[in-house]
Amino acid sequence: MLFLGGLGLGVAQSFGYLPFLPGWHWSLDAYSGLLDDKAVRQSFVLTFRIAFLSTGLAVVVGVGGALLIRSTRRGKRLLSALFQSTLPVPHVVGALAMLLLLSQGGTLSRLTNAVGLTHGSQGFPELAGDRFGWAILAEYVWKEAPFIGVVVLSALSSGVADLEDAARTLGAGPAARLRHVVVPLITPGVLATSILVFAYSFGSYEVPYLLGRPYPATLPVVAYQYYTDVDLNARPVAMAICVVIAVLIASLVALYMLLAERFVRRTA
Amino acid sequence: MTAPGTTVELRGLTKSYDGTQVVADLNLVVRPGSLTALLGPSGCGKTTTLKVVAGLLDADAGDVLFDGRSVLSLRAEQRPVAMVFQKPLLFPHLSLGDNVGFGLRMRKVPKKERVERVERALELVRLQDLASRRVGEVSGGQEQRVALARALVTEPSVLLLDEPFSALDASLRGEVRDLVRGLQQELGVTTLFVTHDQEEAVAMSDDIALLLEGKVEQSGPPRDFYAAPASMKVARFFGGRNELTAIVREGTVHSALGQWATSRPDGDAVLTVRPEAVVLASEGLPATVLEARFLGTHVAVTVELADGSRLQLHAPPSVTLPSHVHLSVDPAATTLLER
Repeated sequence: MLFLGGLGLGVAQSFGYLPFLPGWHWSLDAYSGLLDDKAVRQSFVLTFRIAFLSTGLAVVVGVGGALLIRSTRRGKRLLSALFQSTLPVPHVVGALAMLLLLSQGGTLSRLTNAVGLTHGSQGFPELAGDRFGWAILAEYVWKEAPFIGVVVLSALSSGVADLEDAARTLGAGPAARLRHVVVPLITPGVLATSILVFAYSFGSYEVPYLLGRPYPATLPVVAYQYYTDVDLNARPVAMAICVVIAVLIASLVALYMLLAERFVRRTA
Repeated sequence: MTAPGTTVELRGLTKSYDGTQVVADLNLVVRPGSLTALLGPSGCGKTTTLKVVAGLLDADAGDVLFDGRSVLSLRAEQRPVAMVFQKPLLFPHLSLGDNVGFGLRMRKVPKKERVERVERALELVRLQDLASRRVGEVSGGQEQRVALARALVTEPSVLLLDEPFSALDASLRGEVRDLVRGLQQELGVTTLFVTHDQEEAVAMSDDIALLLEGKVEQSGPPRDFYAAPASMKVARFFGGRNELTAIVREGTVHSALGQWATSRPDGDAVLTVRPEAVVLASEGLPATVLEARFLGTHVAVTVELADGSRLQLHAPPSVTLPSHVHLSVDPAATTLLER
């Protein structure tokens, strides 16, 4: 109830409901203003780019890792444990770790400096707090690839090996088995999890706050900037951004549930 | 299709898992166009043998020859074989028709021909109307028939069946079994069939190879396994035989059933005889009836002979049994085996 109340208040504020201000009135100004706001426009581009890239890379690394683990014979359990070790680590911790690793004064920078690859902290490329969001991408992929990998590994349980044997006796070589048996079987799971990964990386606040820069920032960071603005009239804009994020994520999750349902029906 | 069929030969096949020898120097020739059962208890290495023939497993030693040519250098996907497994193992993301067409697609058969051949294959297993159905929308028996169509559509030289009926209900099993046997004879494809069910093996096969502890203990037509078991192990696997202690001395076998000439060497032996070969007679061997159980088609009678050894025999269902009877046994119907 409290959650719904907060949500309702947020939506109301995005439409100009600010009873503590004299002369407040309902309006769509906050929404129409979003497109004119250069910071918000840039933030949209940045947020989508980071979400798409991190999801795509997480899928590639996650699926690739899972297939690699499956094909190893020795040390499979160790490899699998290592691969999944990031699962219980909170994103904030991951973000701080990336900061310590990738920033110009970070571990990697000192390492390349020590071996003479770079000179001084300024010689190291700007990976954290940069305009592109390298460190943000790295954190998301580091954290989410194993998540996708776990789903793929469970989809590739023993039954799939039997199906691959059947495919072999029907003349399917390694590439054909990957394309016609393995990929179709893991696709529903990968699709569903990648939507979750996209939703998270689109709406996460703490990771881009710690690893990004104030401008251009991702949407949740911009929303918070507006929320804490000294001008209370900026409040509806902050809420409007939040509503847009929520609607986008909600539609993605709806899509996910639709896909998941189809997947369950197919494998039942 | 009246192709002459492929001869399959296994020479000295050996395979171990983690130091345990599962298949030990196995030799077998499968006649072209025949259906040969690899019969044996679980763990005797029959599925392993089949997988080696398919190329799904590599043998540690030995050779697999099709028509005299070794196929060991061919990977599973290159061998002219098709396999039906215990479970249908249909691809869940494909329709039944696309499942049947999978092997043709892998072999790059043009689409038009593929469609025709899939249709024909589904007709063979009498499922022509279900091509567009999805896996899971049909019964287990129908799925196994689709798996059979999927294997046959590629026109393999050798068909491998790994207990393909064991997951089916008893009522379906007979139906699918008849279908397989009918198609196998119609197509004349050399077939190797793994089963642990001796009745199934006897009813379906041209030849049986009985595998015990990774070796072929006996091979030949099913009749031989009843008429002339090669060893005590074979006799015991097929079961139902009476075992009597016997001794051979100077070309004569002595047992509770009498004595007659034999070509076996001197020494202790076991005389085995099937219950059907022991008949009630007006005179002959005296025996005491211990138990008689009516089993519909016959009465299973247990008798005790003069020396205390026991015998099972089958009497006609209409018989009235006195407590003391006389038996007659044809020596030709008995088998003398090493202990």
